[in-house]
Amino acid sequence: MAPRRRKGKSIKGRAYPTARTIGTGSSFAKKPWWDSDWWLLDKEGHNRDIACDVGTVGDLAVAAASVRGNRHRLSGQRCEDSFCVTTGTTAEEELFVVIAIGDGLGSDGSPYSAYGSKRVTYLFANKLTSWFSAASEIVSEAFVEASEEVIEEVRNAVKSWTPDDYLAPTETPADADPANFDTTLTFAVLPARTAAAEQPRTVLWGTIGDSPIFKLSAQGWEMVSTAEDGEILDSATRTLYSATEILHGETELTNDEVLVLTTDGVSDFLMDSGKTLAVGADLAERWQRPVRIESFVSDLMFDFITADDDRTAVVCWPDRTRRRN
Amino acid sequence: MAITDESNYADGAKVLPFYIVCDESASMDQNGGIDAINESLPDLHATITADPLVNDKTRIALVSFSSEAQVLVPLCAAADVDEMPGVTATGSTKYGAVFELLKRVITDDGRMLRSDGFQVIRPTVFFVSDGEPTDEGDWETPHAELTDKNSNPWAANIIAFGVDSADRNTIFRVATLKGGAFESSKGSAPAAALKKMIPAITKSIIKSGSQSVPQLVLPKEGDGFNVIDLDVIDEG
Repeated sequence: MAPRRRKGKSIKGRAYPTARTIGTGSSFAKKPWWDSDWWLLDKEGHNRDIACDVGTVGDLAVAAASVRGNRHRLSGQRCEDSFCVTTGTTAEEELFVVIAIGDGLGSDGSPYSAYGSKRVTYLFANKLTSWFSAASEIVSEAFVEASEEVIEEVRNAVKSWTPDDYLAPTETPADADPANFDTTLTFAVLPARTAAAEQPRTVLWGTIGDSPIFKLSAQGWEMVSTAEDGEILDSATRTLYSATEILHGETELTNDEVLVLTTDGVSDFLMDSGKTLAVGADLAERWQRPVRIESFVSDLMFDFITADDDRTAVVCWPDRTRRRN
Repeated sequence: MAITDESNYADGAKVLPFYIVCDESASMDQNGGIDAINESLPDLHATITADPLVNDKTRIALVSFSSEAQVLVPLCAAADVDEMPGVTATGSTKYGAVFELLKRVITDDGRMLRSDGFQVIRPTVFFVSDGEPTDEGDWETPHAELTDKNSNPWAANIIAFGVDSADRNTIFRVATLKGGAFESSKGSAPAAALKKMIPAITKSIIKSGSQSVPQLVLPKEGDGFNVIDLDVIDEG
């Protein structure tokens, strides 16, 4: 006897379950990705709609993710944001973590922005880790010297490739304009403790461009990556290949605070002129303590009207075993 | 699944309003301008609606003017409009009436967007006319009140297009941005020029709304119309 065919149920009228929506949400998210003609594959593959790393080192819990923005989904281009989180041990056996994030800034339509940001963040984080693995301690003066030296090495390294290198430009290095694979770069180094300690730890940071660093606490967001007078530098010309200087600084991170590095696809919606915005209020509440990996990705995939850029966030919770839901 | 209530639903989002202003005077019927505009507006609407990102970052309104001015489509997201209405030829060409209307409407619209949580980028008016103003009084005063950034916090940018009997000097004075005054090319019929101008307006809106932060991108001159540059000596 032939199996009875079930009559197909119409899905017309059934609400399409959307991403986490803040406010009324975007037009883009109102249609399913398989139905809208707005969510296109990159023709060369590796869209990277979602990239995520989570893990622990010492007392730190770290979650990092990049999400392709709706703008690149609509144009069929891959995500141009990137992150790299590395760990190391100094010569004195002190654990530390290096975080680097980048936002590819290639000229409109350039396919090489993703190459630039990914290669830069990977090389920078690893080279800086090697540098401090040979040092006895991580201090501010050494950090400034090391980061400037490493950035120069990375600038040169990224400008050379072979044709089959991952995501590399098709033209030869001699013919390529670095503007086509330029990127912002924001980075931080902080110790990862192996024994409980109450005193704050020093976070050393640097930045080129408009990807800021925040501390999050029960009081909300505080932007850390500003110049000494508190002024936020004009980032219009500050990219890896155009910047003449790196903005460096340090901040003390208590065990009750959270360190957050983001690209502007997130930071533009956290705060404005000192006022916390709707997305900022939402993430501030959710990221006070570590979250499950699927929740972290879902958090970063928030749907908010006009928020269509690629997004990256690296969130670092100290004293992880004390933070419980 | 809304996480927050919608009372401040756009908190931090930036939006760029565009006002498309069309001359509806009787002469626009005689030179085919009304038909050209009515044929082109549906394409403008469809193109913006088809782009979900531009739809969210821009707002459009349709305003017409002749002896009086009226709002045919109040400022809204393009996707919220079912169908663009047409324009209908009637009356004379009073510039002052439309500039007075725009000042009032743009201020009200801007305040409404702000109360919804949006940050409002300076509005842009695309002004299209086929003739000289027939105002009894001056139109320059309401124009200045609309566009003077020192006295009007909601001052608008104006990009002006002139066809047929519109004087290039007048269109140049209406426009407020360098490179923002256009006229039909010599030998180009008014209707034909308008059929090129409206798509140029569409492209300007699309390019403006396609950036991560919406920012005005001027229309480019094209086949049938060109930028008015009054620094150029015209021996013709």
